[in-house]
Amino acid sequence: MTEHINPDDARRLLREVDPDDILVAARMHYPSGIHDEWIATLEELMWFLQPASDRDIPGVSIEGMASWVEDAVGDKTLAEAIRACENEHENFVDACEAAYYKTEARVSYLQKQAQRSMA
Amino acid sequence: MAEEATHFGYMGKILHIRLDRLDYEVIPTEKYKQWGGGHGMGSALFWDYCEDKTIQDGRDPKNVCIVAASPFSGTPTPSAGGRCEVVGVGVGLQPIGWFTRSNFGGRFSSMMKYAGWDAVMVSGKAPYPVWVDVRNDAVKIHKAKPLWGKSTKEAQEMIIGFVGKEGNNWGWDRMPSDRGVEYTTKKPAVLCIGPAGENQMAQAALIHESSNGAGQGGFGAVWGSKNLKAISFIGTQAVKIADPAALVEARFATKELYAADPEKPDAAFWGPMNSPAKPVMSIALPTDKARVSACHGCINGCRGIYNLGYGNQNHCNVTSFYAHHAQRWAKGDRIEASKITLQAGSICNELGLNTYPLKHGLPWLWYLHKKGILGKGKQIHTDIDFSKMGSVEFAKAFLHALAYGEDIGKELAYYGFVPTAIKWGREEDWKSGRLKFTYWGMPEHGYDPRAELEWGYESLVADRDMNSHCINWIFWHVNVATLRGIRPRIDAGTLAKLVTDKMKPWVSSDNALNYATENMYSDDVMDLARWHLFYTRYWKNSGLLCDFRWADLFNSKHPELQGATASEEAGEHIFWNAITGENLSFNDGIRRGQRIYHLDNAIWTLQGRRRDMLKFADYIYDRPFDKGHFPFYMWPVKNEKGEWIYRDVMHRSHNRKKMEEWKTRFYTKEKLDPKTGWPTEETLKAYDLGFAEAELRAHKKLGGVS
Repeated sequence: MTEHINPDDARRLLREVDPDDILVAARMHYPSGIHDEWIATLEELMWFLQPASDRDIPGVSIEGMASWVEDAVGDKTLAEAIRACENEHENFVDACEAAYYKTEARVSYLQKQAQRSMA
Repeated sequence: MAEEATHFGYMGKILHIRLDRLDYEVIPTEKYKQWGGGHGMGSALFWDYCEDKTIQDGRDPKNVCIVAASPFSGTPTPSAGGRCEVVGVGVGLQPIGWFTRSNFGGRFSSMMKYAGWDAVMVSGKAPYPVWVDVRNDAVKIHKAKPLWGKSTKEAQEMIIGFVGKEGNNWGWDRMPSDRGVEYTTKKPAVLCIGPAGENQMAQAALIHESSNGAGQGGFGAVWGSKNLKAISFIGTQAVKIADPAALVEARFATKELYAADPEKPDAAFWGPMNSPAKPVMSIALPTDKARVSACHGCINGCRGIYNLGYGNQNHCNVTSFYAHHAQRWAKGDRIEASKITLQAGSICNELGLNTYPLKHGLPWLWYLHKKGILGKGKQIHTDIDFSKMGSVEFAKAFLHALAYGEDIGKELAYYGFVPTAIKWGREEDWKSGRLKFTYWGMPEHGYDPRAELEWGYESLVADRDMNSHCINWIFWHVNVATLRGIRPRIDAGTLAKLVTDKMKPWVSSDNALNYATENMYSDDVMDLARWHLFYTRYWKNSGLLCDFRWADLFNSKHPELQGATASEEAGEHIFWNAITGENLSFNDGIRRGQRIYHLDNAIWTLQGRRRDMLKFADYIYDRPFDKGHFPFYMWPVKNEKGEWIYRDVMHRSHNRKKMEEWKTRFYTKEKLDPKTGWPTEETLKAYDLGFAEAELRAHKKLGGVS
């Protein structure tokens, strides 16, 4: 994910998607239940994926998440990076954690680029 | 001694508050022991004392509401001593307010028994707001003018202060007693409503202390309609145990054989008693200055007490309904989001609001707001600022509107989300599953009936979301293992055998746990659902065993992976018999549950239930289950070769025609009229419900021969 993103594109990728395009995912809090989450931005995806306790697991398919990033958000680069996590890790939880770090780095970069345009 | 022996586990009296007459009567418990306690006792009392069972709104003054304990209440039975059941005609269900149930924990049921009562029943409507003050045998009905309008927290504080001042000295309260002068340092246990109940909102709950709430069924509105603010119990008696040594022995057996050892943590433990006491929350622990808290006599301790001044005892859905929105508002700061969530939960508790409809209701409102449909001056006007959703400020404004019937709260909270969606011209949102209210106008609990079959079937043939996790633990253990890439601790075939062996003779084959698509509507899976329905009706809703602990169908601590359920060391009936002195078998209890179910069905029949009303929301049939982009829902299935495996059971939907066939077979098996679902003469005979025949016949609701 090293390609240059111009400020306008960064802002576009960080935008809130249309409510009809949100990513419906879920958190699995053992044993309190499964709770839906409605993810509308890349930043929200990052918060959702952030590793928490061992009783708190993101409930989202890696491919479903990558497709949303590609189709709804429009970030093909991050989508491919997320897809790669599934192949690079033996289990879902580790893949999600890796996807978090990829997303965090991407969001951080996009925010930096977006702020540049405003300065 | 003979007289005392008849009351082992029971106190021998039921309190009937006649609100319209502002007096009370004492009903002997003896006649109602055959129903166990809790739900069964409540259903039987409802049958006997509700003179018009055709009422369709819990706010009707003819409604009768029963709050019942069980023989376990007030005893050291693990995870059972503090639960309490509420029954009566509810508010806010669809298409009418069914006779329904709710349940809460804490210490209300135990204190009710220490005051000498097995249940309290309220009938009629008081001419003005009142509260009921019970101190042992002394029962007073006070005017509630100073309490009316107060939050549940303020009302409880005022009652506790009043009861204290009435005594000798605070801390040592003199208690009325026929055994001479007695004193207690205990505080009364209070069950009350907040403003939501006073305003008769369908979303109104009964609240005891903090976050012990009977939320489902709108019983807060029932009490509000009766001008009943609170009932307080304090007592100095004890529950007589038939065989104390057997009770202690079963407790030790529980610890030795079935409970996780906190000294030896086992992350891959399979079974419900799998961790040391810890708050059950869907958010981060908001502070390191916290301790666990538990209901009376419980060994699990699933609630938290914090140094924050809010959030105490909030758990489960109270910690989740606002969590996602708070996280968005706090920009991912989990501690801040946790604090906001706990404050929102505490506001609900104080206003006396059920949080469950908000779990799926709030995201729907957020969607309408984002689409520009809901907002100031929009198609659906509101002065509530939805751009601040996730903040404490929004929570205060929105929840206040729900409790007081202001703004959009007037429709949402009084009628419920589904009728409001229809009124707003958004019925399609309900049909499509955007508004996920799956059955009877109630929100999905988290477990979709397209995957979790028993949950759906049992909810459909009853009156509300089932909310009984006995079988559901399988989902958790298998899925968490799969997500972590760990080999499941118990293989699918062994698990199926362990679980279904506990269900004999109700199920005849381990195929009952085969949730494969081609087996969804089989008699075997139906038998599993029937077993679980009746198990829950008796052991959990009537015996009041806690849902977080029971049933224990498999347990990785046990050398043979056996759970405590039905065991001769620490099974449900072992505790029951130790306390009551009965000789009840585990399956006797389930047969009692079946009888209770059929009594409930007789009440629903009189209320106007028809076979065609038993249906899921449309999206359950019309759309495959994908829970957004949820990864998978692993469950034991038999593969094409007949081998047991764990397989993803998502991406399927229910079939209307096959569900209709299923209903016919269910009715036939239960000796109900397959055309209507009504009880028949054969039903009444089979389940010893002959007393219901005359009333059913008088209303022309006795079904034909099945």
